Amino acid sequence: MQLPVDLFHWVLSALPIAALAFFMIQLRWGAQQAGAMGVIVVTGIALLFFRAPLETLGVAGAKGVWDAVSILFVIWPALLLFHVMKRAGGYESMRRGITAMSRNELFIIVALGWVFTSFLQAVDGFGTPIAIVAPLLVAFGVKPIYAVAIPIIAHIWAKFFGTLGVGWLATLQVVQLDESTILATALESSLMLSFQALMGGFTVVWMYGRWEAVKHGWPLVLIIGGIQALGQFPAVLVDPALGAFLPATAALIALFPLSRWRRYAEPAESIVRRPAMSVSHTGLSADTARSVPPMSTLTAFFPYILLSAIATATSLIGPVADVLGRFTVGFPFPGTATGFGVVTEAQDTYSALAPLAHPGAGLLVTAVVTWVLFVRRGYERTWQAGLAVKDRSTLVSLLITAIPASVPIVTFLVMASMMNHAGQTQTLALGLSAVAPAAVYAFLANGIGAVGAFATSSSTSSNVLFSDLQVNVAQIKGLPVSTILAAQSAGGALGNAIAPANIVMGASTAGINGKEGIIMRKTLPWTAAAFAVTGAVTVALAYL
Amino acid sequence: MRALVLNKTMYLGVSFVLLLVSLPLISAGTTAGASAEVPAGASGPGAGLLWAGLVCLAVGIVLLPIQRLLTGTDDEDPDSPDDD
Repeated sequence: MQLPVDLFHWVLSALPIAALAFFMIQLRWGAQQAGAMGVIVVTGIALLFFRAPLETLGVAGAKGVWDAVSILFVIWPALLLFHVMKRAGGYESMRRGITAMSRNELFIIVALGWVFTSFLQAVDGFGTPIAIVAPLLVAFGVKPIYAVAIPIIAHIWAKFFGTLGVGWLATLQVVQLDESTILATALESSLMLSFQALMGGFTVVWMYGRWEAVKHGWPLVLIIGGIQALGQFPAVLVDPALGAFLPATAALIALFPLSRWRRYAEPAESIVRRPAMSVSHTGLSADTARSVPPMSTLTAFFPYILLSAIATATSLIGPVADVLGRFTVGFPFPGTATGFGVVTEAQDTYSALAPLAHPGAGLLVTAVVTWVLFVRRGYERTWQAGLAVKDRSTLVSLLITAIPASVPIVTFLVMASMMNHAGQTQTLALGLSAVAPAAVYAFLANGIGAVGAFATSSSTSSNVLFSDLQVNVAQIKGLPVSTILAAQSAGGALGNAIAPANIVMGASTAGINGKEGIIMRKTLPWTAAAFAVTGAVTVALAYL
Repeated sequence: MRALVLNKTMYLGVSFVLLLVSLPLISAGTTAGASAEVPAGASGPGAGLLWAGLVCLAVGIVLLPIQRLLTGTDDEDPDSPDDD
């Protein structure tokens, strides 16, 4: 490979990402148009300056479309579940039940937006936590922008070891490490992710009610954050694949005794300013507020209990996971090459998808079972009869919301795939490693992981792309391999807070398509702070 | 044509279908009939499929900013009280 790693080509490599961010955040274009512009920019740069043949870009584009299918397989069933619940009054029932469980708004938002989201990430991933929790928070009265931003930030710590260790296992596939380095990487990753857990918790609380909320909620944050953060260390010693699942489950269980603590059982009178909440606690129209939901709170929660059970069973029970994972689908692609020697191998089945083992299957089963149950019990008919303005049919509503959510995700992944096949992603990382002194590189290492996650909307993909490069650079610069690899993993996690596909997913289920740039404005400051903290921890581990 | 451009679900749906259709076309077009002597791709047996796939991919992508340029907006509610 003879990639030109000079300033000119480095800037060109960064242009598609900069263009995407510019159109979304500065110009407030919708994600689909911004993503399309990103694809157009990367295509032009690849053809003109990176000697990428048109056929190579075509193959890359098709692979990007296939990469998106895995995410769409979560979005469509999640939106189906959302509309089934909405048409039957499920969210109104849930909101009333949650309000009855605890009268402390902050506690409920922490429970749903942080703890439950993290648990879902630990067992499922693929964007499921955001797609599920965002509408729950909206139902509770959280403003839609915050209903998306809060779970996005709060679940970041569980990304790397989440989905029962998929990211961790994928990383081990692409690097060759001895046992001691593997263990050190797991422990140092846990340390860096611990800071993200605590930062996520405090940010959620601050978003809810600013400094008054922090003063009220700091014991809760330290307890939950402590369980999540410190729980990782014994968990990874048992099996890194459980590094998020065990502490996330422990934190979920801890909610029950914590809800009995008077401080968090009663409303927090000291928190007056609540910018994350709608004006009315219901956040609903007067029409809906008058209607009594036709189902009990337990019935309303049934889909989420079922989903958690399916996700846990299919992931944790080995024989079940093996059987479900046997059926796979995928497309063949030829090898490609550019004029600069960037080569990708031919594959008979590119990125094989196991549809029965995928979280989308569990979501689809949950959505269909819930739909049948609600229709047969007459919930949908009863709830719609009480509304002055009826909702559209479930399937029409699904198409109207799922298509606008799907298109930008396809464009983002097409863009990421083209950047990778043309060598632009590699140029970005190689350029950074070439100019930065060892200490500076140590600080910036997690930024490479974050860029990878931003471009692909996947911490796993970021680790697959950059782990080998990070290990090589660490060895050249005399930095500890485990520390730099942990930084890559932590960066791949935190980059998801600004990953466009994640934001689109949340925006679609929260009913605010087109507001992706505004959501990103909420998550970007946290991402920058987490990057700086992770960088400082990396330098400390490398030199102390 | 006007309805396609003005109706958000319609133009996004067309774009989505074109992008999805490009996947099997490009895969088949670049691997169909490939062998050591006759490479697949732009000059191989699957050339027609490949070019069809590339056109679908290109139109599916370009349709999106063109819609915005023709109508000036893609948002249904550009301003919202939740934007703080």
